[in-house]
Amino acid sequence: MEEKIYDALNEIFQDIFDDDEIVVEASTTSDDIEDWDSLEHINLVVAIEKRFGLKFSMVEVNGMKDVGEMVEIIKARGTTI
Amino acid sequence: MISLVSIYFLIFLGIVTLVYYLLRGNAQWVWLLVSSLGFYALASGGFLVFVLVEALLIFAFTKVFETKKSKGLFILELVLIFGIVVVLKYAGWFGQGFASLLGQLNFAGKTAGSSLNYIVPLGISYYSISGISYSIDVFRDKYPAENNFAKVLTFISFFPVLTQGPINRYDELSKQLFTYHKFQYENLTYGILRMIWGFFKKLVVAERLSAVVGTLTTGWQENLYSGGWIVLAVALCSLNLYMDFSGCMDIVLGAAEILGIRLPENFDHPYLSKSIPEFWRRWHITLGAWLRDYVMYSFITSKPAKLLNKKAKDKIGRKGASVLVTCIGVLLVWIVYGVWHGLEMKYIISGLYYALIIIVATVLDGPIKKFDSRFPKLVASKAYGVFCAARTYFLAMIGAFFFFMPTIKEGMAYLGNIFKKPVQGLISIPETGIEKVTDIKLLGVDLLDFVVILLGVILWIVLATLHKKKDIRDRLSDMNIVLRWLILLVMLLVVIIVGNYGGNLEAGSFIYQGF
Repeated sequence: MEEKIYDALNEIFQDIFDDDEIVVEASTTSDDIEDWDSLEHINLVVAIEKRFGLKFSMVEVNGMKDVGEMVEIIKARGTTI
Repeated sequence: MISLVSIYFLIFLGIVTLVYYLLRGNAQWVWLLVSSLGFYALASGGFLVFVLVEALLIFAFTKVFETKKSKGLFILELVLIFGIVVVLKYAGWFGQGFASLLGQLNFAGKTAGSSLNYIVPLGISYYSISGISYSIDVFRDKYPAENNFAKVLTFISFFPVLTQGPINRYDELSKQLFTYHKFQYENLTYGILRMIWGFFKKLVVAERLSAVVGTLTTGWQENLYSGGWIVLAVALCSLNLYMDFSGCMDIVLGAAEILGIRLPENFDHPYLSKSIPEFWRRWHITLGAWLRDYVMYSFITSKPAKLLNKKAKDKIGRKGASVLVTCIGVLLVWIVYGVWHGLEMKYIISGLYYALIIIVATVLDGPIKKFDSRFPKLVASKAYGVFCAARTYFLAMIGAFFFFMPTIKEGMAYLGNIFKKPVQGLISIPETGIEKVTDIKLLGVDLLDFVVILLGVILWIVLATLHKKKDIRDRLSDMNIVLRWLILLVMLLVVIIVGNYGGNLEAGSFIYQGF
């Protein structure tokens, strides 16, 4: 399950940042990806919501500190991939 | 009229709390609804009807959004809600503008502006944007619409936040509003302590600062004060605003805490900020968050912004496009910020002022990061931190000063006076007979007031520093019971004796209440 989520996330990240080399892990933060600014964060959130068919609350959108937290929320929603 | 700093509010809160904890289950929030409507009726009379109308509109539209996401209906809702706000809040402004135009065109012998009295319905900007945030969240499918109108009305009208915020989110507040709260001694004592601290900031410090700033900034046309006094007034505006507004927030959050409800913080030591973007994440936090989530987010996810981003990418590269779209979003956010405060030019310009600073910071983000990585030792040093904080205070101080002055033009003219009568006596104002420090009571401010302000500010700095490490109230409850009550009693006495309230036990209104 978790592996599948990471696979999907990698695809989204690679697509958003136009970089096929990107591989994210739980500890990845915006400091690790140079172009990850507030604008791209919102684009990421929207893409992830679409991909997993879920909605983050505004508190969650602003509170995600790393990719691991993102995955935790996705898992908690019991999403089907 | 109930003001948060009147004895009537304390009596009201006492009665509400007593009944609240005698009730069980759902009766508790129904009682909160009844009390909130009662509070509003007492404070603002017939304007209560607008609270009801807005709640009804928001309830009806969100119910529709649940099944039908119609952009047209969404825009209609925004037009209706903001229409009400604009007509009520800005009627006077339009009226006066119109009247002065007539005057200028010589259509009317006298300016009719003075006859156009208008009263802004209490808290309308606050409860309107809370309601809008709930609507947008439902529209965005963040959570389902509420089926119970009474619950939406309770959210909109919850009395502690009704006058000055903090601005709430439905998903966060409803979790607490509609659950049963058992009486807890700690909520009561912590809430009361926080309220006392708020009364201290407002009545002991802010009211005095208001008197000083008010005295020094009126009558400036006569050029009464030497440069030093003007600089003092400018420097104190921001602090005055902080003590007034954050003091009010302490009272509001404390009152809600007594009822077992934790509201979002509106201030987080803003004067420790090292940059203006950071300052705005720590000052009036809930308004900033609202602008970020509902203006910035909406703009960035909008079709025009996406298209612009795509087109700009080819021309100025990915980073450049991101900066461009972000900057346009920033501009939009700060225009909304200005308009939210009022249609007067000074509010719009004050919004543009912050927009400009933040845009410069966004554009220079790359070079700043490079500088930081090249001189890590310097950037990590304490002196550099102090320099950054001082620079931020200076910029925020200028912003707050123009916020205080009636118009930008008057503000500029006032600043110009700094150099007309420079240092030749920081204290001496020959025209008014003020020559010695002790003569300042001729300004309507006693020297003792300055001493109280200074002591109050020192106490605030000490307590804020301690509080950052560990909650002051936790520290107090760890103390010996005698000492704890002694401190509480002293604080209460200080507020009662040194507090600056009028003869009818009702202090002046809050600066931020008018928005």
